[in-house]
Amino acid sequence: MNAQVWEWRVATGEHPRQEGEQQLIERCRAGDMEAFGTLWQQHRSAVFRSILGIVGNPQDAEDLTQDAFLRAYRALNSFRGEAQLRTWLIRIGVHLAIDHVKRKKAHPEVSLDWDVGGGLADVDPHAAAERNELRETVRKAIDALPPHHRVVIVLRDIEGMDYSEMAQALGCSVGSVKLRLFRARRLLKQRLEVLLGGSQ
Amino acid sequence: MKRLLCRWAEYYLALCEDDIEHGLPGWVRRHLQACPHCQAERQNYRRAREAVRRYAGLLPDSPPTGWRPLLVSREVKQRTFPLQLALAPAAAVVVVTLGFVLWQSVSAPVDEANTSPQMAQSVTPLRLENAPPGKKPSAPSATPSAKTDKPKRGQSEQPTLPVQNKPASSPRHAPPVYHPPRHIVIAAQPKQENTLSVDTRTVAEPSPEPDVPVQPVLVEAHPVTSAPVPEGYVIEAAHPATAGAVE
Repeated sequence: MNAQVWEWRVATGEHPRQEGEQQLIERCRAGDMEAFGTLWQQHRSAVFRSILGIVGNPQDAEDLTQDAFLRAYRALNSFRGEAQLRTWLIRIGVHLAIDHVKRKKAHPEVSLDWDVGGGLADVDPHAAAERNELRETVRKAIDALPPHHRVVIVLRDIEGMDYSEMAQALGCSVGSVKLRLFRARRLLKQRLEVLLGGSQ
Repeated sequence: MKRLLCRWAEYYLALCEDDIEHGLPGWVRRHLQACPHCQAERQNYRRAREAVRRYAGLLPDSPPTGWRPLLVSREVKQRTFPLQLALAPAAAVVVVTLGFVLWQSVSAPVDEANTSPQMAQSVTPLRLENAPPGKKPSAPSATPSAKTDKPKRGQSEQPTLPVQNKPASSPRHAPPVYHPPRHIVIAAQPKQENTLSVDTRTVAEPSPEPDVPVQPVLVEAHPVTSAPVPEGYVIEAAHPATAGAVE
């Protein structure tokens, strides 16, 4: 049995066609790579930020984002449309990120070469240093959380999901999401009290 | 140690956002006004939320080096051994054939076993009539004996039932139901053949008269004769009760 590997470079136009998400999904299921490129461009930032909030490393986050979209493309036939596509993609990415964190068995490294603040670091060095300090502090506090607590912080406070979306993304009930978020925030508050208390 | 009310208040403080803080329950707001510990907790939660919010604003929307092109790979499997496709129906045919043969071999003895109770029922009254007085009738054992007394091929004196006379029990073939005559069915039970044939004779045909002619009148009409009267011509009662004697 021979296997021939075909590769498509997903086309990402600057101005993707305004089209219904369901139509794009149907076109993707039919093998239209242009439609998948449109979905990729629409949702890649949300997936990337969610994964970055969990793993903390932009390079790993980008790899996991690509992996999440590839998995989503292969499993697109199983998408029933009960949740939004963005929620479904974030769910795939979050699970990949949790597996990545567990597999790494170590706290993700904080990359200091981020272009934080959209290039404002070059304008105001003092503000840039303050932002870097804040970012490191919060990153340490988030990394100290268990992965299942880290996820709810990221989905709620970084991605701004509501409780029902979080429940769909995590595959649990809204009550469980609230309880998990309460414990995660209590832990995060305790960490930040230690970290921010020394600096204040 | 925190009071229970403070624990519940902390739950609401952790979950509420700044913009919906006015949606706290009334008892929590009243407790916040009276409890300095919970007021401090409220400030800590607010500061932590603010820090996370600012951190979220610092997260980039894209990788620092820009997005790499997304490559979707798909494996197109080519069959280099198409004989597998040809072998699949052949294997299916073999399996079906084997199943049919096995079904045939299994269903044949079942048909004979199904017919034996009917034969036993037809034979039972005859055997009861001819059973010896000191012997128990063998009617209950007729069914198992019908199974165990199947005709064997090596025995020539035990005729076998013709194949076309087998009653077909399967509804698939649905051959015409053949009801063999009674004497043929009896012949199918080789060990019971003798008794059954005798039974048939005794029930249907009463035992004939002995071949010796009984002509007592002739004896009386010709009393003077030199020839000795054969012993068979003398009629004597075999039993006193038969001759009218009183016991």
